[in-house]
Amino acid sequence: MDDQTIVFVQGDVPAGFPSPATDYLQKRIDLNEYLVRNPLSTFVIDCSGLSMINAFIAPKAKLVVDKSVNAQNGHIVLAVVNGEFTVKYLKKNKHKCWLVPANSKFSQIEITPEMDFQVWGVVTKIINDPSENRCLL
Amino acid sequence: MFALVDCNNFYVSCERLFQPKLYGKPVVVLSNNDGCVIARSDEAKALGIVMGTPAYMSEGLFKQHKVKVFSSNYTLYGDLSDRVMKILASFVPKMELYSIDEAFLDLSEMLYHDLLDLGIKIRKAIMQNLGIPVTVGIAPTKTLAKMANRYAKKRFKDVGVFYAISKELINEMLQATDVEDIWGIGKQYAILLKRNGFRTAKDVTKIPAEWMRNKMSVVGLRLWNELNGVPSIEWEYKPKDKKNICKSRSFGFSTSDISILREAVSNYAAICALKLRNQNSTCRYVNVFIHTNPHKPELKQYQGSITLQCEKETNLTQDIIGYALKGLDIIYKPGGYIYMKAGVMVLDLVTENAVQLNLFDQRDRSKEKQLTATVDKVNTEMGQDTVRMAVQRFERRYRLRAEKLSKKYTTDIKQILKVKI
Repeated sequence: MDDQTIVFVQGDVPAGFPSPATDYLQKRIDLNEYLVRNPLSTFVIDCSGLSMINAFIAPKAKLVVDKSVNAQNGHIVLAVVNGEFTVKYLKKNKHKCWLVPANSKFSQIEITPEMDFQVWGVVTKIINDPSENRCLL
Repeated sequence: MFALVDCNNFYVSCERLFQPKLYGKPVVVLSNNDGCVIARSDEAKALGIVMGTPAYMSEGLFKQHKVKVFSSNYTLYGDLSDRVMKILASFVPKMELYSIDEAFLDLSEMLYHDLLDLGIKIRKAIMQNLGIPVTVGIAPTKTLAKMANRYAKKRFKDVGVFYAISKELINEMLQATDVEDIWGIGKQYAILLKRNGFRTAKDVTKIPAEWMRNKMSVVGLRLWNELNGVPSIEWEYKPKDKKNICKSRSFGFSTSDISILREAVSNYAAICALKLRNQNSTCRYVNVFIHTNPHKPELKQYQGSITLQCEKETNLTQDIIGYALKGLDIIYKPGGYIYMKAGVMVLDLVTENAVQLNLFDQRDRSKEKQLTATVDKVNTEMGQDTVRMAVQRFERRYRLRAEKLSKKYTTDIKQILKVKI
């Protein structure tokens, strides 16, 4: 993911006038750079479901997950609860910790000591593809 | 000072990362073609599953203890290994990749660092960034670092780091290590040492240098120096070019169909040719071999192998495939032989620019080379074997058995982790 080759267009032309843009050439926008801050610790996942719809995670979406980020209160996290993956808001205070959905039809999960709980990574970008989430007009 | 960083049960750790319900459960990974056990979780080790056991012999045990079995997913392990190594590289100026899951770090330039703290940081960073547990052994030589790593796994599992900083700590570790567990000792020398009453690594350090040289040659002396804290093993920052390249596999099934053999052999030959080009080598000889299943004595047995000399040193796919298929036609025996394995080897390698020109050469080799380079470029960009020789075909009818293969979670967008939320 981090070994991208970017081809530069050189301003040298064997004949004719040099391009006036030569001095202003910049690297073309690389979405990888924008979407992935830490390539070594970043993974992409597919998720489906409605529980995070109000957090702008469409029913079908790809999520960019960075494991290197320390999960804070309010982060959207990819968590593992009793061996199963889920994506929710992380809510925590000094004493307790919850996984909170962004949809009132779902209920929040309180993390108790007897649960096997782990934050796998923090969701750093959400990629929604309109063609996968058609709205019936 | 040197550090050896080793990923714990690496293949199992990779599988667990994407299937977290397997933590705490027995897991094994099988070799290519689902042959033998090549990685075990601690729980599987505790069940008495031994490294290298043929899978079919353990099936009962697997079933009884609900062992989760995986085919080896080298695409996944390779990517995660690459990430581990790159994270390690961010900590030290020099390192050597020792295997897919181990690396030596050169700490000689890190005089002002607290190395124990560095070891702990490395371990934490890889755990946090990748979720892969590693163990770090730090000591004055490579051999001792390897030993320190092993010792850490045995004695300080929770810390995961052992820093053999003082004479006392080194002695403690040497005393706890049997001679056969010394890195690079070899079976024969281990037996020789034991027969002479040297039981632990500590005993070996007390042997007179003369004795080591006489009985165990320079290899033994080097080992003795390493154990006594004198670095004697050279660093290999770049992997060495291979002397021979071999590609061989058992098929997922047995066959007497020569067309399947031809397909397999030409694919193996193409891989050899590509590997040659990647290290800028050419070969003088091409060897091809096939054999029947030796574990089924009730079937007719045959092993055929032939080595052909190339007209001229080459690394072109069409040439290597040509020789391999010519060889196959010679050794193939029809009439009821059922083959289960084929292989291609390229031998006597010479670097590309050392190749001599031939006055009577009729072929336009520069043109062929250009074509091959173009094909390689297309395949690098578009994916392996996008452009291939017709004889390689597309079906991979000889394909390996990999029934319990996990997904390519990190390299194929269609196979990424799926989560219901």
